[in-house]
Amino acid sequence: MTPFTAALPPLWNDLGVILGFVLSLFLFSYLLKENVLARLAQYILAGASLGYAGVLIVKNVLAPRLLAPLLAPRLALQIQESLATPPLLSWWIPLILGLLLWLGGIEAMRRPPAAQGASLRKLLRLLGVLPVALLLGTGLGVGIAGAIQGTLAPQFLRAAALGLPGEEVAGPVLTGLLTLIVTGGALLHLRAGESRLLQRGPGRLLAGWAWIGQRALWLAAGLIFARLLAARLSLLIAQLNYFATQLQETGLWQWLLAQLR
Amino acid sequence: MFSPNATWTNRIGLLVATAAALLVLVDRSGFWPGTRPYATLLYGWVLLLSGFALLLGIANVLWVHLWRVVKGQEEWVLSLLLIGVLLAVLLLGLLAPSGTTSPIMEWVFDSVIAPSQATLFALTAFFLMAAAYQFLRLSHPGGVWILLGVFLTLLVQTPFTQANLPGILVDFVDWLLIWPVMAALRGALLGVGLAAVLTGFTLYLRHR
Amino acid sequence: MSQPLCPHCGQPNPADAEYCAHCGTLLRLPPEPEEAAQETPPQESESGPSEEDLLAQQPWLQPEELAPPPEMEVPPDQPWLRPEQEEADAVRPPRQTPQRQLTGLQGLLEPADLSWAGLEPSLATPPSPELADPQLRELRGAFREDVHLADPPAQAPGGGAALARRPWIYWLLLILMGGGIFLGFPPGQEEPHAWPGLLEAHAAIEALPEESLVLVDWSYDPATAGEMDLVALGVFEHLVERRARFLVVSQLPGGPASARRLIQRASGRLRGAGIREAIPLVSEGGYLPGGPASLPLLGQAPGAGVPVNIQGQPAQVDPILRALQVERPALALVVAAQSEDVRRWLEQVQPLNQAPVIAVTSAAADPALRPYWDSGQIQGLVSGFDGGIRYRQLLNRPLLPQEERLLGWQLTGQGMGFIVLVILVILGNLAGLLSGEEERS
Repeated sequence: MTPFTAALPPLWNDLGVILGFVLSLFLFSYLLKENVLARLAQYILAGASLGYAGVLIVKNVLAPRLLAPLLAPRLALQIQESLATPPLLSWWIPLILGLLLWLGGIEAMRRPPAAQGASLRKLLRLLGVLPVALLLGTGLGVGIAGAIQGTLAPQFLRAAALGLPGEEVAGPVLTGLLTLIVTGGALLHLRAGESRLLQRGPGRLLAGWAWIGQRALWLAAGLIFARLLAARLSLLIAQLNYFATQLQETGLWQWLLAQLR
Repeated sequence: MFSPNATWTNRIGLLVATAAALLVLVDRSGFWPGTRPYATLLYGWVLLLSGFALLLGIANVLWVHLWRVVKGQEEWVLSLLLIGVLLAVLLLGLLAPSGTTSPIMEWVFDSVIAPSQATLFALTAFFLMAAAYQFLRLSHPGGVWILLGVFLTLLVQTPFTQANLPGILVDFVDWLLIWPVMAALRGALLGVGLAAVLTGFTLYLRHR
Repeated sequence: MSQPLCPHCGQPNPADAEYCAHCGTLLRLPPEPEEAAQETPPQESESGPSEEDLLAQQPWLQPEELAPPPEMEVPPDQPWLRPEQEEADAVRPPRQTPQRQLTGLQGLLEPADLSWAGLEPSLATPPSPELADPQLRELRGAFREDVHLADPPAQAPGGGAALARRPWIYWLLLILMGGGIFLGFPPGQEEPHAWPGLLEAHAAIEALPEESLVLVDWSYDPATAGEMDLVALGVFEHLVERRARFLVVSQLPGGPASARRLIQRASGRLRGAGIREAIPLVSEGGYLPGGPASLPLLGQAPGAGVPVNIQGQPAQVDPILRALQVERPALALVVAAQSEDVRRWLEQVQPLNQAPVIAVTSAAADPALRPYWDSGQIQGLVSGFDGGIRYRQLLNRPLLPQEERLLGWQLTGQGMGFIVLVILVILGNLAGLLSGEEERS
């Protein structure tokens, strides 16, 4: 347990250590066989995680950023200093949109028979579309703008700079050219590797370029796998260390030894 | 602008989404600084709306499991357990004045969420080994190249083998990582970036 | 009623499903107006192509995967589940096109749907005639993104398709790794490899003036804390030691609590090493939902992005929040288990605030971030257990006994993991040879 639970009675901390250990063992038992104990632990984890996320959203997002400014004008004024828009726009509209989202969502979950209240259904659906469209549209906008500003432009410029001799080149010119060839080859392979255009005439030259790109991608896949393995082995080793520590902390180790004797 | 068979719901949704996307694009282009406060406002709305949407998602999970319990479907007892744990944690957290930083919520985090999540992810090491057995084969397409990449990297990243490697091999693997592999992944990144931009436009055009 | 079959995995789905419940493939693509008016293949049902069409288009699909789905029972008290009860405006004319998924290494990495990237024309071309159906099934199986675990190893080794459950591999790894750690074999070498980017990260933090403002994006939770704590601990020790003021935000629900624990550990370690003034100057911005769509707030208006800290105090009370409203961060630290989170930051925040970025990541995220490191968008990169251990060695501070044990386990365990992998690759290739797999080469 961590110092953040120090305010709780010691019994709670002991109970927490045992609970965590038992749940971990249940989940680990999945290795032996798909079993009810592993599923039990999964359901408990899902319930606890969702409940925790719900508390976080209410207490850390909606309450301080939306409800508190609406309910306490003084706080609203303080926060207002950092915003350049009136309260109607900052808080009331998102509140209304959020409620519409809930109504639309609940309507979709409830799915009443079409005969009953069809017009209300349509209205709720229509209004529920507004917040969803806002979320989608903003996501679309930031996705496109971000891809251009954060990936495409800088990566393309860097790739182009590597192909030109001059101060921009970090390594030898040969390495820069090799990098450009591999980048272009990988892009070509991913974009048109299977195209029939690359199978005849001058396209064969491009096919050779794509061939290089494909090999480089395979090599990269091997490298990624090895690093992924290191990452996952680290998790497993940390977990084995957790089990060993908990065996000592809970006193289960002594009990097991006594049973063996 | 609209497809002839688009419903009013679709048209209104499309208008709102278009306006939001255009505002973001104009703001990020920097051509019209006057849009900055409105874009900021929009991001703030999205943040709050995402909170509402997540709560709706939690309600949906509750609803699905409640349905399983009511209908007595398979594993309804586990669904009941999930509902019980979810509501208990939710109520405890909402009643605690400091929310997730209250001792009781920290206790839930330390004794249920953290060890269980860590165990679940630790299991992936076993599955990765099983995948290596099944897929890292010379006879598979690109198998030689993939295995070459795997073993060169492993030789360098594993402490006890790296200690016995000639320095030139270690430098070679570093070079592989920061030049050819980086270049190939840059190609992939450009491909994905282009695809992301294309997707945006394609999705928009398809949903007219 | 017929349930549409997923064109990617062949599984049945509810009639109104947009995405396949099994593999996530987009099931419906609304037709272009002209197409809708012109082409309606007579044999194609409204709910998607027929089984014959699917087999003709994608002969690598397993016939059993295309078995007719069981009729969905409609309870009498839920008449709205019947498709004919759906309102007209809710039903869009479905059209299924074969989807093409670029997956990672045999389903171990995130899949990327490329069907929308203008690749449809090449999809229309049948798979290469040189490859027979079983081989295509093999390929398709190898690249499917949903890893199914079947209790009995139903397929022969190398039989493609799903990843079979193989308890003997689990036991081999568990026993050899546990035994290796217990016996201390292979011996952990003191200095693991320092991958490029680590020294630059250390130098950038070392060069920070005292009380510099650092914006931290915390993108890991307990699921990956076993590795990430190891990587991030040294970096945060260094930041606390440099008296940096940092604001921590997270887009994961488990992020804020994970951050609190690690920062507390880092300052505790410093105080244990005799640095009494090691009190972290930290403000918790808490959880920011919304993914990439809310991240730009941190770049262009942090005051609006984090108007209050996790205790609900506004900038007037929290000096770090206040500082963030008037000064640009000297550094942005992205602590992430996945490369995607770093990329998101580089796309949505860095272009707006121009703050230099240091990435502290899982080993798995490292290669995918190399292009950004090369282009200078990332100033330093610390990754994996090796990066974490080497960074702490750069700080030149003795380890606590329990930390020493964990690091020893990591070094030894990684060595044993390598040995197990070598054994498995040899056995796998032998099994492939014995089962005649070399013909498919």
